[in-house]
Amino acid sequence: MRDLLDHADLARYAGQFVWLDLNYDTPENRAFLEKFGAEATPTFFVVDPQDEQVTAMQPGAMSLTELTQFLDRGASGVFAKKQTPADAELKRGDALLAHQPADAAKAYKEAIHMAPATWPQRELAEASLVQALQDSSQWQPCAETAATEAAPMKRDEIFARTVVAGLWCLTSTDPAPWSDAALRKLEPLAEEALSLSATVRDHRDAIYRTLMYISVNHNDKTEAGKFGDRWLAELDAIKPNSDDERSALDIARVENVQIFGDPTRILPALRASERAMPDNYNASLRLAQMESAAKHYDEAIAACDRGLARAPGANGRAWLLRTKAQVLTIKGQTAEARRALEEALQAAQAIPNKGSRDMSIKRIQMALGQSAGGNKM
Amino acid sequence: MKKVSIFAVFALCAAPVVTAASLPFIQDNYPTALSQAKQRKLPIFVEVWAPW
Repeated sequence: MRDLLDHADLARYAGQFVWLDLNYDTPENRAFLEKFGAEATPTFFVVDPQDEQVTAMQPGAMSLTELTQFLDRGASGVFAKKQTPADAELKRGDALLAHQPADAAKAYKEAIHMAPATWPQRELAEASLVQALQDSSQWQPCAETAATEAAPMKRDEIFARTVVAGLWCLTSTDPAPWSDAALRKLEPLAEEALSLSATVRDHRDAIYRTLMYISVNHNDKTEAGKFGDRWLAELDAIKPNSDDERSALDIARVENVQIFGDPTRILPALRASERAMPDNYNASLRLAQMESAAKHYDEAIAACDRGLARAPGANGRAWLLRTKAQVLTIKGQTAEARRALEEALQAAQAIPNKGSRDMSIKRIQMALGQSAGGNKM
Repeated sequence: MKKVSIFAVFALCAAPVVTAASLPFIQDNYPTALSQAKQRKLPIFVEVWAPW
């Protein structure tokens, strides 16, 4: 998604907005995140500077087409002298989505209800309604609305987004007659979404992962494995254009295998990435975790050590040392594991973000406690 | 889309800043963006991202 913002087609928008990038982990951005809310990354906003009202909000990656439509909609919310009632409700829903998703769902429903049949934003509002139902944990209405609304939609990015949100809602609940019925409608739509070139990588990832989760929930590991293999084959066919993209592909591989699969399947790609990104300690961390999952313990420790030599910063250092300690414990090297944890604790105390710092310290202290008690970390 | 969790497996603290070539992004400074937007009477586009 970050690469998309470099796209030449966006140059025409350069003078039409003030552009702001906010790193979720940067402490200075806390005030914005608390005020506007962002429960997922990436999340996009258009804000009217005069009253600081959100005129468009979208969680999740977008295609170029979606992004330009989003920019147009956001600008229209700021500049339009008179909006239709349906447009105003859509804008109200976007403003509510982050903090009050149940109320956002009501606003989107109202927009759909009051709009004429030819309203150009109808499918966007339907997709946003499903998103709001998901964000407010209304799993059954979410999945059922997704199945109903997506079926007649034009096969484009909004269609894929709607299917994805519906599938996520199905993963959030135990199998039940209603969820099985929704799945029977959504799964063929998911296959359609996967067949579209417009379906962005993040949505493809979400479709495959949700289908894997659902298969695992139904105790169908064969099916989970098939979806996993398909996605890994697609990922392997992508030639990354940047380190960001390479990292995104690797994260998708790891998340895939963490649901179901053989970690040795992705080790060659992770090893290649570690070599290709010699300054990236996260590549070493990912590799260490998967080497460990594959029971290649010496290789996992070596990957941690390589990561530690890559100037990882406090958070990365704490994470690498904790991972190393876990592997050392499995190997029965408890004294070395304890030393690694003590170093991890020291590193964690220097993490600038309070939330990350507190969580890291808590987890290391828990591991230290288990280590003292002779239990497995 | 990644749901944000403090348990995120690959959470980082410091991250390299990637700047879009064609768009003049302000990095991590909402007050500056707000001030500029008021002055220039332009909407603010905000991308919240994470380096993990």
